Amino acid sequence: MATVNKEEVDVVVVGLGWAGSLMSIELAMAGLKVRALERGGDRGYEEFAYPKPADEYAYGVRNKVMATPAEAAVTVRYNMSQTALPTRKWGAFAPGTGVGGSGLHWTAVLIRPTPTDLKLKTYADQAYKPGILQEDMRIMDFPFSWDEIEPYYTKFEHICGQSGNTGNLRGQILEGGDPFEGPRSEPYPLPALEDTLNNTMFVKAAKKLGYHPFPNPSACVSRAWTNPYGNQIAPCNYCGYCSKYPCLNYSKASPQTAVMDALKRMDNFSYEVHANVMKVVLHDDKKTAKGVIYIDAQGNECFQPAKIVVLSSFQFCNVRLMLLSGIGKPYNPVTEEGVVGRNYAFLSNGGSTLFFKDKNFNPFATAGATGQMFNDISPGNFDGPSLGFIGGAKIHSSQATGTPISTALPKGTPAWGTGWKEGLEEWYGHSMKISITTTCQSYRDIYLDLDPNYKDEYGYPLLRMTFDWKQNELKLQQYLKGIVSNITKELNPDSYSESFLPMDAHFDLTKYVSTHNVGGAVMGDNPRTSALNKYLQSWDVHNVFVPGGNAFPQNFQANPTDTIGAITLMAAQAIKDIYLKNPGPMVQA
Amino acid sequence: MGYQIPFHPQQILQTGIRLIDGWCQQQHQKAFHQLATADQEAVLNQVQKNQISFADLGESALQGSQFFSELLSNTKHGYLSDPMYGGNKGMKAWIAIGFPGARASYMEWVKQHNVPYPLGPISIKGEQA
Repeated sequence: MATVNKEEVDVVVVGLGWAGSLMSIELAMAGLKVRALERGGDRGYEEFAYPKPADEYAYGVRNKVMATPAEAAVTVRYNMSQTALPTRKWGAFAPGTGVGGSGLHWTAVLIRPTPTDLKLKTYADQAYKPGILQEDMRIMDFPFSWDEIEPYYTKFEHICGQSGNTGNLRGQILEGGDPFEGPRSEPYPLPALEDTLNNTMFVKAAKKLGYHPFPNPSACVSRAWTNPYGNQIAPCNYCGYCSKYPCLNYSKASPQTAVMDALKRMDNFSYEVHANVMKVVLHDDKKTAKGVIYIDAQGNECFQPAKIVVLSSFQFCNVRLMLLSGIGKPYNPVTEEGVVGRNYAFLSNGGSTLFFKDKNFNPFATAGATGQMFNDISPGNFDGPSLGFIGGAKIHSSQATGTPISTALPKGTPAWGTGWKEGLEEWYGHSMKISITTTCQSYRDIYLDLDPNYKDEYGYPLLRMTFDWKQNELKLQQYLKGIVSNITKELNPDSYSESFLPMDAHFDLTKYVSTHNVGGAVMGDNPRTSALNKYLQSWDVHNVFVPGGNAFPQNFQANPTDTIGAITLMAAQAIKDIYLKNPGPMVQA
Repeated sequence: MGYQIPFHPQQILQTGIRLIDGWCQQQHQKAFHQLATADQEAVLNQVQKNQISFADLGESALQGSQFFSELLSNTKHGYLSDPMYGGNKGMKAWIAIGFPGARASYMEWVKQHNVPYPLGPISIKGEQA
């Protein structure tokens, strides 16, 4: 079968989620001819108009808008001595697919890391005595300053209609926000979402114990918003079908609501769905790419030539594409040579569930981002060095959903039968959570590569993930357990249950954590330890850009999307300002 | 390392049902559905704890506890999902627990803390309680 050759474009964008749609619109606005190729299907509004998304079984349980394991499985093992096995059923994480990617159905917590989080290696070297941190840790600084990136956070947050309380406005600390946040050049675009009962209870207890709670920064918008692209987002109606669901009210910032309407109106932008990119094709000198090969909806192999290639599929799909295409040297965890696959990280969660007979939490009346949190326990804000670990966590009471299938029941409730029914009737709507969302550092032998045994339907190796918990993260969990326990006791529930990782915990692939997989093709100052420079440009192939969570050298406690948006917008600006005038490496190593 | 059973969900259920019915015929000379409720619960308890060994019944790839886990989660899904999936008839499960179903719009309610929500559920297809 002959390859179908497509007409050349200026930019081919692989994957039309947040990173892909931002790159597409920014470069199309600069006059470039942009074509996006999306593995999954189209996701137009008619697909998720009310009442379709009000369906816990389809979206919450059966992952209706996520990729299937058949499409996107990886293999997983704890360490290099094991054989990795495929993710035949999603558990700890579940990647998105289709136009909008995970941005269509995310929980919409839009939050920045702190300046210390972005310079974690510098902080560690200065704050920790030699030998305290474990020898195999490989954390790195992000390769830009707060002042460089801050305008792009602001820009993305305006694209999303970020709703919350400003904590630090140009150095001035304001009441009601996060006193620990890095200085903002502008206040939040919109006020915070309404507080639910769990929020107000948590705030009271947290303040009493000396913490500084503030509303979860939200991209479920609190007021009608028109963004810089001219897209309108409606005020959230607290429908309770948010995290894992497309928004039925046009209220959640997503590629659809925040970008696509404006983008689709541009004549110089086009996109193709069910277009599964197999690899990037390089010129013989391997210094530039010619374009990408993909399989179209009819099963034809196609070649899309382009002057610039953007890899904006999900984090681990980006890493896999780089490995399959020969972009950058694959990482060897024994010799520590190579860069593609190194610095993979994840995150952990946990917390307590509190039951109150006399409180009606009405958990169904909630937005995805609903919650209050504090950032007191983050690197630089507390005495991590004396505790012997590095990292921290968002400590929060969130209520992303109130649907019944996933509701918690008190310890001792029978798992099934009459007793279960009675327990469910008694306790549904009478619980709240205090949760942790932790940092996760990167380590020498925690990495990604191509699997030697398992292949996809086209015969290409699956991505292999070698990951397990390290002592640093487990010590952190135990420390956080103490803090959550204090807040729980302050709230004095009728009963509570707890879930934290013990010191001998292995990574549990079966229980959902979050799809904040990061790293594998990280940004940095040094081509020996990073695959990309500060503009997400491959050090090796200068017309390939790889925006996504893959760029993080370790995971901070803030949700990744705000940073993914910011680094993508910064990269797009650099392409416009620097690359187009002088195609070549934009940073000298 | 996660789910590695070489069956898709339908095969899990069919295999488990076949084995348990066979076991019930041997032990009680009745199929599972013909047993008294208390006996059914006893069988399910044993299956859940692998006290009825699927391996002994000739099935090496699936354990009773795995079948039970699949069965229980599917049952909960049917019980609590929208009635259009065949369970939760008349939204009785939602009425019992106080879940409003597919109403999905609470702008004025989110501010009312600790007030029991007064309206019954509606379903995706527009049923009202």
